[in-house]
Amino acid sequence: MSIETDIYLASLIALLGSPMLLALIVAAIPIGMFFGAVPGLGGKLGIALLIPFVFGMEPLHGAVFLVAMHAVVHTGGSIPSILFGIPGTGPDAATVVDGYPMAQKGQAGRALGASLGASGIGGVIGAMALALLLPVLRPVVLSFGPAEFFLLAILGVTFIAALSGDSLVKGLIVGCFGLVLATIGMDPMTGVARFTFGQLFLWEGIDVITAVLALFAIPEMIALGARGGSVSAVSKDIANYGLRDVIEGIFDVGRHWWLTLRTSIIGALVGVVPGLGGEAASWLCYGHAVQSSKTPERFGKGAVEGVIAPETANNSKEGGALLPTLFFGIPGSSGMVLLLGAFVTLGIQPGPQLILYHLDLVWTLVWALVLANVIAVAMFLGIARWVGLLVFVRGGLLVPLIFVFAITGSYLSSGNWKSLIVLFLLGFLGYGLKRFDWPRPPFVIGLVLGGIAEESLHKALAIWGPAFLLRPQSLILLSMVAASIVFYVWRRRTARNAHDD
Amino acid sequence: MTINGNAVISAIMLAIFSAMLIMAAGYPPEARFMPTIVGFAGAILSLVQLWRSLVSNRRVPRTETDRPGWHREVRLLGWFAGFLLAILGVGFLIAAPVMVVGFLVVDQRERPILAGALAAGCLAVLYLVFEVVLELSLYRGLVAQFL
Repeated sequence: MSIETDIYLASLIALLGSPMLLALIVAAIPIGMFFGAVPGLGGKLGIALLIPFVFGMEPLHGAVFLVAMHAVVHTGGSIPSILFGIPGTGPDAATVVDGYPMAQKGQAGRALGASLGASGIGGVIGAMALALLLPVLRPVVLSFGPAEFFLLAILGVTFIAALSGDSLVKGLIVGCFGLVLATIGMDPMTGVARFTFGQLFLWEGIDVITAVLALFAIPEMIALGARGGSVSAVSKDIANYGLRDVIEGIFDVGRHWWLTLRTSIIGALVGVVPGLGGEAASWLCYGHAVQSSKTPERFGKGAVEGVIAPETANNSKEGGALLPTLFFGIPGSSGMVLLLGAFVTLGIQPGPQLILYHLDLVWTLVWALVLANVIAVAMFLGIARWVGLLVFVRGGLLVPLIFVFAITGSYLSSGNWKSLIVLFLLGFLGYGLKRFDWPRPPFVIGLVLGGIAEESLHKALAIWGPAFLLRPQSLILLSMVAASIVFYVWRRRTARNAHDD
Repeated sequence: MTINGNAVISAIMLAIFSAMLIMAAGYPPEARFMPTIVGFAGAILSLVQLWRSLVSNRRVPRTETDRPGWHREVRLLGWFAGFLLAILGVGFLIAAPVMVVGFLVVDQRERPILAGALAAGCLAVLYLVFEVVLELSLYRGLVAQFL
């Protein structure tokens, strides 16, 4: 047996043999489903708020908990999409198209079962895709030097800026803001304290968790509280379904196994492309299901394939998205941006070091993804009759609790009460960004990758001088930066033409 | 009152980048290299966005403050500041349950029993999870420090 086979089997055995890790996965699943099912919360907020709870844990335990939670967010997100036509999270919007008509036809349980089975299988196939790509990527990652890591950081910011909002300029400004805030603190090259205003707590830089909570949790809570209410205005009768209906839906996934397999693979591949995100995966697979169907006219009126395709993609893309996140430090999705920040906080530095020295950790995360998706199916079946009621939770009740836990997270991650002032200032700015539709993920990626980018830039200049930009791999990465900008311009032009038509 | 939100955000960003550029000028060459490159790029982009926002606003006047929910959002921002100040003053274990009850009863018009139950749950999580299980000490507040 090869060393790698040893590692992945040993990781699985270690995971299954650890009651603590299994308990963390089991605990994470209902939390992830909750954040997915309550419209307005979502996985990003879930990660931001759960970070304080993983302080003091072993890095592996914390990472497994967060990955398992994030893995099942879309499984929960399909509940309001199907029952009420309200997507729990952005990528669940495609599920509404056929899921909601199914519920209106009295097939809510079947649609939920199809979504559940598709999510479970999609998640497992996505994790397997990640596992299969590991040996292929290993030599690529190991061939990267400081020049490539600097350009990867620039690529990450550009990708996310181009894809996470409707304006590239706004995205780039926010990305630059993250990069420039990353320079706050002690300069590693000269030992000079930069932008610290004489405050000792700033010597170690802006705390990533405080920034994440400020830019995501606080603005979301303000928006949720201002919006008020819940979806309880919708009749609860539609949430009445039986376990038999749910199981029937799960069997539907088996009946459409070829579609399930295809959309799982497409989802995983979309996930690998940094920044493309869940919306692209789910809509792409929905479109594929329509195009490949012999009876496309059924779609939009309650075709079960219209639920299966986006749901497999939603969960399978998470496995693919872990790949660039872990090995290149470029998040594969906006949720992964926060997961990346959480990993760094836990002491897990993404990059080649992971492949060289911590492959066991990577494999444990792969297995955690698989287990979380499988256990989520079993858990959902146990509580199927009541799970629909999650969407009736009133937003106003959650606001004060999330305020408290966001402040707790900020304090615990920095260990200094003065970071609460940073939380307020960035929270205020984050609210402004959300209010006026400025993308926020580029800020996090800039802040997280800023340190690596600066260090790599200095090293690259010391070794090659400005000619580092002309190295073959550098040219490939620079052309990818250019391609992401061209793609953005093309997307904008296509959208404008479609609007004009 | 008419506020061009995009222009305001662009102006704030421009001010931040400009201030950082000016401050960075006083650092040694290696220390100012990265902040200068990024700050310069950010300032230029902010100027472009500011110009675009002002031009588009002239074409299509927008009244951001007239959007529904504006006042409510500002009030919630005030509540958030209140939570922070209370926690800074008397610490998590006192401020959190008091502010949760206060917010739910005053702002959300919830029944005191429900508010009290949620506050008790919040206190239990703070104390049991962080102080007992994770053995992390939560901030006790400036008042306790002075006393």
